[in-house]
Amino acid sequence: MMEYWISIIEGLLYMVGDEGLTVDQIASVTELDPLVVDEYLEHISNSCQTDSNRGIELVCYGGLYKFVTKASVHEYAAKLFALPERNKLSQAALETLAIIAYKQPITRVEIEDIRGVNCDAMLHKLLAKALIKEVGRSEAVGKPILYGVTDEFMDAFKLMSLDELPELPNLNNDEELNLFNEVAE
Amino acid sequence: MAFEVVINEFNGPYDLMLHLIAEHKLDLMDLDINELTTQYINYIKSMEDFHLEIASEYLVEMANLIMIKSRRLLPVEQEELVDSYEEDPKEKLVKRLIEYQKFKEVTPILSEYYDERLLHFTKLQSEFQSDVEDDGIPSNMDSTDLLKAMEKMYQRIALTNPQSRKFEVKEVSVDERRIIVRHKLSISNKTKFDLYEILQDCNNMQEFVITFVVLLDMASHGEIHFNFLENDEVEVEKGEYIYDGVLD
Repeated sequence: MMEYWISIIEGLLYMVGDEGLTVDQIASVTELDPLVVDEYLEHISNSCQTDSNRGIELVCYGGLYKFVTKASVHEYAAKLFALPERNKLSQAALETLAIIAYKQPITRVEIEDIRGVNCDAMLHKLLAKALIKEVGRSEAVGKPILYGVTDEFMDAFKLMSLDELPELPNLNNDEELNLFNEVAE
Repeated sequence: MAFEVVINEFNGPYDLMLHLIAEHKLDLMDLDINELTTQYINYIKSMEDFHLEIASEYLVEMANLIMIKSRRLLPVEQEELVDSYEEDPKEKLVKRLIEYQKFKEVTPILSEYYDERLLHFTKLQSEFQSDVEDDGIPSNMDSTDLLKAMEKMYQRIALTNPQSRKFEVKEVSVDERRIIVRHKLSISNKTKFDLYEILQDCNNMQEFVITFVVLLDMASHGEIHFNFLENDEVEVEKGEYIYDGVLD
């Protein structure tokens, strides 16, 4: 039975392509327990990964499982197609994205406070690229828009969840530490 | 010592300050505001010397630095009310720099993730036709949602314009051009042509030059003759040598 379900899941994943599937979606159509689905997905992932005969691998970005080609394919794909120059993200875009990812939900003013520059145009750009979205309104004066990252962001940075973001370096002020020690004493 | 300025692209005043702090080996935790202010002003001045436009944000922070510096020169009033306590502007600045530095440090890692992701491709979802007879709108939505989605889509398209496009220059060889000119001459009943007629279909200077070279070459073989008319126009006349290649 296991082989049967694994083949079904693989087929479904192939069909949905870049849209990807969540464990719950698979569980609901197969009527399998989500934990069992997890196990099967892991099996597919491992078999793609370990089997060097395979050109695709299973990834999970932002909770969405999808098949992608292996990195080694890229070189040949580039020969086959005139691959469009994928837009590199500027340092400014990366900074803004990082701030939103770590601090979301966050308003424009809060982002500008950290960066020290106006971010209006940058937010428009990131919205257009669908890397961020409006997630609500702050209760502050003027009810400013709150921003958060999207599934596309998770995909673009290969993140399973936001917990996978690299840890922010600890650059805390020594003074604060001293103060803390004093209190402890 | 010559004052050398490296024009980097800084992402705002904090970025510039952190650069100056690192360059002049200042301690962020025990910041020498005087030194930072001096360096900052020098930098802004040198940008001015290069006639670079300085974004207002840089000037705001310069004013802030000068304010912090000048405050330090004033005698501190001993009696300060605790409840009117205001955060020390220097501390505030240092906090901001630290906060900014944190994000600056993680961006190279994120950039790496991003680049790695570009090596993997996905395919689009398979298309299939649905025989289900409905209007395609989920029950919890109505047509206004559709309208909104449409509007959003247009907005997004507008925002992403101009999209990048690829142009390729196609180079035309002398041989290709020769075939075209011969064809043009052979399908016509005329024996005399205006030079313009033959050069008419040239799209750019390069094609023009190549076509001209072809004409000169054909003239040297007697395939054509040039007749120079009185009104300064040049006429091309079919010559006695007829090319008998495969032409239909």
